[in-house]
Amino acid sequence: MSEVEVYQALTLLSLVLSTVAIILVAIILLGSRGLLRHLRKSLLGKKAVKYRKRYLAVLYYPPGFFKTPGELEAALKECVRQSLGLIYLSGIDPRVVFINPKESRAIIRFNGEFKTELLASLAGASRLGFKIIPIGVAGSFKSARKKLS
Amino acid sequence: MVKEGKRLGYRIIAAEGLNEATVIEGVKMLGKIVFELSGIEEARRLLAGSKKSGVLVSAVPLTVETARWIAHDRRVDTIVMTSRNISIFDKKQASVMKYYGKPLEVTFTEISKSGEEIVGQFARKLRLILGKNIPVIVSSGAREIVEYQHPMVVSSFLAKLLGLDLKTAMSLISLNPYKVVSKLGV
Repeated sequence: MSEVEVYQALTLLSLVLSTVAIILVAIILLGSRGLLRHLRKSLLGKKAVKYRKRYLAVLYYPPGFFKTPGELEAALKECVRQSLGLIYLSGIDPRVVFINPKESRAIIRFNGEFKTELLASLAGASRLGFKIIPIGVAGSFKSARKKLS
Repeated sequence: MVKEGKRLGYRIIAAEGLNEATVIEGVKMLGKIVFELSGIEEARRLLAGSKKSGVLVSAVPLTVETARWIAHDRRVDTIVMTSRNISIFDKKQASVMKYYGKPLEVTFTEISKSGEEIVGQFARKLRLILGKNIPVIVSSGAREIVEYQHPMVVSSFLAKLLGLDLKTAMSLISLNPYKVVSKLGV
């Protein structure tokens, strides 16, 4: 084996070793979740926000104005549509999951990402002849019921 | 209306028709007088003797010179902007109001019930006024219970309309009105 061949072999070995070292360092750095998330965001853009259900406990006025969940839901959707439009209505996706016509109380399930938008659109209810008074926003139906009582 | 105000969580309510401060069902009630002023002479005449303890004096100027004049009148607590006089509130009026520390008042029912053109005008003018750090007060302007909105609803609406954060929007219906009320010595 000539001297030149030995040098060539050593150079090749150093190249291979440095490549392995770079890969190892990358794996260690990318192992932390924050960095991975940052890289994913920068490469793929912002991840779509997860639909997080939230429950809005409300009172409505005049007392007994709505008898069924369907009536309240239709009025609420009309109110949101008039105030913010169809795109926001589909985003907010308000659903009446509970109603007590005797006490004029209800629980509305909606997309939590649009909390401010839903509350803002409730101002338009007075145009339609009723009013919705928010009591509180809860993360579960059970805690929303607690807020109502 | 007082019961409804209490249910919505308001602690101090100013209403027209009261001549002094009282407490009804645990809610502090203040009187309020609103003058529509179309000239300086009329302003002088109406404002004479109008200042009483526990009574807020608001003025709706209908001309530019009246608006400039009442901006430095100490008897006037707030200057009201409505859809009728919205054009008066320009940069110069904002500068005068800032110099004399006069708050601007708008009624929520007027903003929420108007058409998109008026709402847009209100938003532009309010952004101008807020940009000059002039205190803005949003009063309910409610004549019926249905028009009387919850503070969360009002602040969310203002936050969305004016691009404010919720805390700043809430100060338009809580901190800023309280500062005016506290000046009355009630």
